[in-house]
Amino acid sequence: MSGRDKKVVFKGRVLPWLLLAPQLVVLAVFFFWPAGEGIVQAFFLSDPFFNTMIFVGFDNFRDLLTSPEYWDSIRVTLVFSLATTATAMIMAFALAVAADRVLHGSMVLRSLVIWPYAVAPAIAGMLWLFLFHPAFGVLALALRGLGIDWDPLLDGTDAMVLIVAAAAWKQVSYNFVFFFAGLQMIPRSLIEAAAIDGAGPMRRLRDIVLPLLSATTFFLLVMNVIYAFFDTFGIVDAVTEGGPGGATRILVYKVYKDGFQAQDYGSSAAQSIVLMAIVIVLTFLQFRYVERRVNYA
Amino acid sequence: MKNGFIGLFAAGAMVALSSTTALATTQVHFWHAFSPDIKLGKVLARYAQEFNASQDDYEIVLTYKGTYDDTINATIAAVRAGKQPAIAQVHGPAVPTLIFSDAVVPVDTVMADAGYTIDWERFIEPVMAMYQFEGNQMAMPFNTSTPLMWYNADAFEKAGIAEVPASWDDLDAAARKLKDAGYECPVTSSWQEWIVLKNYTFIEDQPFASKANGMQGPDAELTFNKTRFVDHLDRIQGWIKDGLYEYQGRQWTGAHQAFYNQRCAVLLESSAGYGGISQNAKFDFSATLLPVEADNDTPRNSFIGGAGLFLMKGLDKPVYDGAAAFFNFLASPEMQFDWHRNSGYVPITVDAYELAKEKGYYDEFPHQELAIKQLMREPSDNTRGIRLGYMVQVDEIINEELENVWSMKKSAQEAADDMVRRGNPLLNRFAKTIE
Repeated sequence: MSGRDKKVVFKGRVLPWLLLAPQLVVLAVFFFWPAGEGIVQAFFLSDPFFNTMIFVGFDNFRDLLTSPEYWDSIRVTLVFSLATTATAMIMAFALAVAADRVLHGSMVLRSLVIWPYAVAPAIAGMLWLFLFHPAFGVLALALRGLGIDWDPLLDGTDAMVLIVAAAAWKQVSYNFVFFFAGLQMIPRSLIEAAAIDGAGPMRRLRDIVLPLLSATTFFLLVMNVIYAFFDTFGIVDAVTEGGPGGATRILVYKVYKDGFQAQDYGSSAAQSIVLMAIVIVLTFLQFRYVERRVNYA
Repeated sequence: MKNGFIGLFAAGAMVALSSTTALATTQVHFWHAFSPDIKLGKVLARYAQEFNASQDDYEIVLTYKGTYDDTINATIAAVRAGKQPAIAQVHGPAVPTLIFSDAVVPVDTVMADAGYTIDWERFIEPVMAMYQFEGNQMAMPFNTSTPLMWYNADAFEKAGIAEVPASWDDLDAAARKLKDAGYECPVTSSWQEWIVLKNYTFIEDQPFASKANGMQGPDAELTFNKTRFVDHLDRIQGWIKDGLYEYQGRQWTGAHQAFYNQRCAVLLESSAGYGGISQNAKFDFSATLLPVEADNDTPRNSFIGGAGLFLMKGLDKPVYDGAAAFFNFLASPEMQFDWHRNSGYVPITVDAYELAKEKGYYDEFPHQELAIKQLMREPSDNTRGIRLGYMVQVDEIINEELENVWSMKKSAQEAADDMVRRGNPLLNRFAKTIE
């Protein structure tokens, strides 16, 4: 606590602003300006060249919220984000725990695990599609051979499983790096002391490792939710295009499709505001209810 | 020393000379969506090269902008920044956006101003109609295709299908024979929203939307849910139930793979699919016209796909003259025949078609003639084109609802009604953006 009370105070006001300026300019130009434009756009109906700009008030929002398909998209997005975040974090944690036992110093192996993170979402999607496409996917044909009725082209659940797998696969490596670093920071002596006191591996995991990793876990939770909400449209575009029948039509994909392919800027802007609002609320809830249980040591 | 000076002087003069020639050449920028790595991109690059070498006044500068969507987005952004190219290749769904915009100049005006007399009557009608607006030719058709019925001839023989199906009833009977002969997927289609829906309404002369599918004004409404199309949809749903049709995804990859590996014996697919099929099908294949209803005595022309070349507004006269010269070069029967042969797309003029016939091209590649024959049928108000806004979103809705039919979640009528219910507000919104 004492660390937080130490305040460094600059004399005068010019120097601090000057030092902040580069970052503030970047924020203003690349974040606040476009976000502001987006908010304005959401209240207009325009042609792509902005020759005609018709103020429509809340019509763009009303059209969205009165559409049953849009509400279904919100539901699909929540399912997708929850599943992707949970899968990516649990897999990464399990891998990190396993790796912690064997990989103490191997830079090479650690670097290899990070590779998938460098793969662009659309490419990751294509990889998974090539494995699981019912007509030519190697693994899809294997599944069929096993008598499993695998058809992500027409079965919404199969399609969802496929995009969650692709999205989580990419994020596992990112999470792994943080979990692995976190595990390495835990003093051996603590684990050994617990072991001497008779705590088994599961008990040690629950009472020592997890609490000590809570800050990392919370950070990753926030990052993964944001990833699932915003960065996954490339995967959906490459794998399912929102199909079958809208079963994988997540909000950010719709924003992308309507804005960048259909040039329906008004609706796309309104959708991004709704999406942003959902993520702000979720992040707020995470900080309000989950962060309480985080131990920053 | 002296020689060195003269040498230097000479070099300087050379540079000065060559830069004056460079100044005299007007650059005409052309943004397109054909990757330089594929054959189409290479053919296009060759045309630009040939054109540039054929004269000294203009230079066509090709820039590959990515997919069709990337190209139209880059063009829109460039127009807003005042840095637009002269020529932009624009694919079907984005055509209304440009036609209704203030950002383009009509091709016929530019050609006339540059001193070219073009007999637009010699162009193939449904191809030109797509780009006609208020008496002007708004774009030059470039890559044009239309769907055909491709089939595995070996499979037909094996199943004992003596006559190639011409009607949907024939295809139904053939599909059952193929099923009995052990084919798991007798029939499939790529690009379903284009082939299963739009092309059906064209050939059967049914309306897709009011106001001649929006060709007579953007304030149109989708009407295909009240036509014979619903029965057609119901038929295909029945085929899926009976294992006669398999859905292989919205685009072409899945359907092609299923056709190559002989899972599917009949593939409804673009005429431009020939390249892939001829390279990958290790069996005897052929193509025929798309099926028609048995009681349809006057099938209409099918619906085109592909892209046209638009001229962007706000450039200098010499640039437009250069673009006009290039278009004139591209539209010549010899070039169109070359394009037809090398790309698999249909020629855009009757003269090019006749040249291809004269040269005996169709004796060797008979299916290449099918697409153009299908397009040269007499059009009606239902078949001159589709000009509706936010078509990308409407197509997405159609695809989603078709999937709901294939997965038995909805009946044909329910799905068709839902397509219309969800699509019409989009058309309505688009219409509002046009004064």
